[in-house]
Amino acid sequence: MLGNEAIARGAYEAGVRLASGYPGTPSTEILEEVAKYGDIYTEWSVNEKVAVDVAIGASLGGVRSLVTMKHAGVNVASDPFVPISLMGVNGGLVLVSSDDIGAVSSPTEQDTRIYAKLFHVPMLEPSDSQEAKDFTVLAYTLSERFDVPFFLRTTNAVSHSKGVVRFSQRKEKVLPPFDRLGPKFRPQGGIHPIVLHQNGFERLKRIERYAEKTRINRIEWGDRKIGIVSSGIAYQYAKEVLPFASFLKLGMTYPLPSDLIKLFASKIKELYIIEEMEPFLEEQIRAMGIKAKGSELRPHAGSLSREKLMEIFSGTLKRFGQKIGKPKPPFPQVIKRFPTMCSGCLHLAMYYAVRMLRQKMKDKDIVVMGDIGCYSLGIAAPHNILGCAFAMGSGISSAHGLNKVLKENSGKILLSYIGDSTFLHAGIPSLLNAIYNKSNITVIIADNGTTAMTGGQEHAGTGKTIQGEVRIPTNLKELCRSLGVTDLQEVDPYDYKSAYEALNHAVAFNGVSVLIANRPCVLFPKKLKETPFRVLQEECTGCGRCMTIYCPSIIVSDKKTEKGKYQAAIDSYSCVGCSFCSQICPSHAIVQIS
Amino acid sequence: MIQPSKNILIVGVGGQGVILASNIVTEVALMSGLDVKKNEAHGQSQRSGSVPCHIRYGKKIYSPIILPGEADLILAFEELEALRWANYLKPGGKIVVNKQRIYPPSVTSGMDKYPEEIVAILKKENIDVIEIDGMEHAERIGNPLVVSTLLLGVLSNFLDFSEKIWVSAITQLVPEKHRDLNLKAFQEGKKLLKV
Repeated sequence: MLGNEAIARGAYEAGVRLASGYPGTPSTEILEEVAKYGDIYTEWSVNEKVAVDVAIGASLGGVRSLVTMKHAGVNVASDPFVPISLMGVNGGLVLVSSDDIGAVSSPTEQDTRIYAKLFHVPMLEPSDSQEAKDFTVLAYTLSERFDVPFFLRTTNAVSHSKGVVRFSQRKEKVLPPFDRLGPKFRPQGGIHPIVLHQNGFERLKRIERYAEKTRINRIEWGDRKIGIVSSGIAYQYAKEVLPFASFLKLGMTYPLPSDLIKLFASKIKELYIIEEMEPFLEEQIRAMGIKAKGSELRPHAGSLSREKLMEIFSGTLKRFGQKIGKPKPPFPQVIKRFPTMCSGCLHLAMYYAVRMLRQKMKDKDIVVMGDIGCYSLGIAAPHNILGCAFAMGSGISSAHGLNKVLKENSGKILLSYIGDSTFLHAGIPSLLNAIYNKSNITVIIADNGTTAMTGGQEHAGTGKTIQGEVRIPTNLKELCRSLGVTDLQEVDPYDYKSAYEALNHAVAFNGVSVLIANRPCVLFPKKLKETPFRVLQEECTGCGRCMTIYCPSIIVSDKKTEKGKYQAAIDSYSCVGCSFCSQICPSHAIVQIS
Repeated sequence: MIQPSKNILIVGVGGQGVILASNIVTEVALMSGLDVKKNEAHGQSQRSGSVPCHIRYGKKIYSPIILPGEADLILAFEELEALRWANYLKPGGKIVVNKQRIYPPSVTSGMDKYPEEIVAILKKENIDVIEIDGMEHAERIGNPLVVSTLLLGVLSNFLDFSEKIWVSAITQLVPEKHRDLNLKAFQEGKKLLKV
């Protein structure tokens, strides 16, 4: 099973009763799998901070709880995690962070291991699916034994790889709910924060003693001339490249077993620390006074690979009589295939409206602050719509900040572009802030009724839960009104004329103007398909207007007009029949197939 | 059945059934009592991106990821993807290419040119290419959606797994209503090379 499925299985076997999280690649499948085990209450919370709070509540109630997110989510979730880590748990609590190393589906990459230090929490790092399951189960036992939440960190190569996993039975465990009058949870008259903080260090020392003898930190003796300290997927790569070496394989990467590491180092001639991203193990090991090589040999950013290790250890490999072939380069004729926006996507229609506005207001500079979702693709060519997109909900507030420092005659018009799930996640306080502080921006909320980028997860606006229960969907319009929005329009982006007019009105309005563009995602919850459109060859002048929607169904045909211009064509297989291109064609050359 | 470790790369474009095909091969290796690891690219699969699935099986597998020059077999659902991943083939490896072209938007919008004669390019490098017109055969069988299992049938000729295991893996992983058609497609694909 996938690493993510294995974590879900581990949570099930450990008797977890509540699981919460927010979708984010590469973590999403964990909660989706957990939700399938009927015995576990599961929810997509509105954001990661809320998800952690929910799991804390369950832990205080005496049950084991799981909370999942991607690396960027940990930044959002960190606020409640710091105090609860020091106060401790009741039922076992495990936070899973899946790091998107290489930023395959993220605006940034980051090494969340560093958080373990800040949180004063122990961290386990599985290196394959079996460990992902086993470590999850172990994390619950240890969380209760040491009275601390546990951090389980994976990377995309572990989360999205399949491996063989052996199952065990589910074991239910429920502790008595917490005592309101017990000392642990009373900040006033309870334990002083400084004492709590100090206790955090003492607790780590106790966990370190456990780390010295746990089986998940193990030495695999090989040739003692070369020794490798490693963890996670890096261990798997290193083990394959240097099968003859001695290994200290760390399953718990915080706190580190200093005696075990010193013992290993003392028997090894050349010691290497092999890890991805930050020199997290390395800095701690060097602080123990141990000489080792590591980060100076490798890049700090991006994912590690066997290829990179072979390069680093080419001398060693030669000495050990191993042959390294030169990898064959890709064929030069290959062209790239980037992921695209879908045919009929509402974002393409809205982008087109913004593009036309830019053309109309040539003397002005229309700046669009983007956000996190499918529409982040709008930063790149050929769309070039969004100025930037960096964090959930940040588009609205950064547009507001920019608005405050720009002079009235700056010629800049400020827009922000955000999807429904992201708006509910972190856009609400941003919008409230912009309104209260009298901003002059236009906020486009592109409501496609799902969390599309991560594969169509439910959220508070969809009317369903992850476990398929029906809920009252949040009314975005009413929500905006209650935040104080006075200039509010709702448009159908497929109706180009109305959407364009609404956009013109919004940017002319002096104040915060909100434009909600409603159209369901064409992929989720179900694939949408209407009768496709076609291009009338006799009418098409080859003007290329329809090509500027950048809809993947609209293609350049091999037919030319009399004037020698290539005509457009529509791929009827992928066209979903949204009609948008037919509305903007100046020669009325696009019609629905009858 | 003891055999040395094998690396199989299954590549295609999102929506072509690459993930299903790779799941079936993974299951077949698992049912045969081997250690198996598979890595798949998520996130791109729904949006017409390039989708590579790495499958490695044998007595003990560490890394789930195949490197250039290591694949014993490549199954390409699409011609451009065959070309993109062909350098992953080890000397003497085989590549099964489904004769289908899916143009990236950069080609349909006229910015790029789809490489011509991909199979010829590969053959020029002395690569053992097996061309299959999967769509044509699948339509003959009755449904273009069975290309995936048809191609697995072709692939099965190069792997030492019993037919019984293939059939039971397909039965397990294909939705019930399409099961018989997929089993038929697998058999047809298997026969294709013997003709």
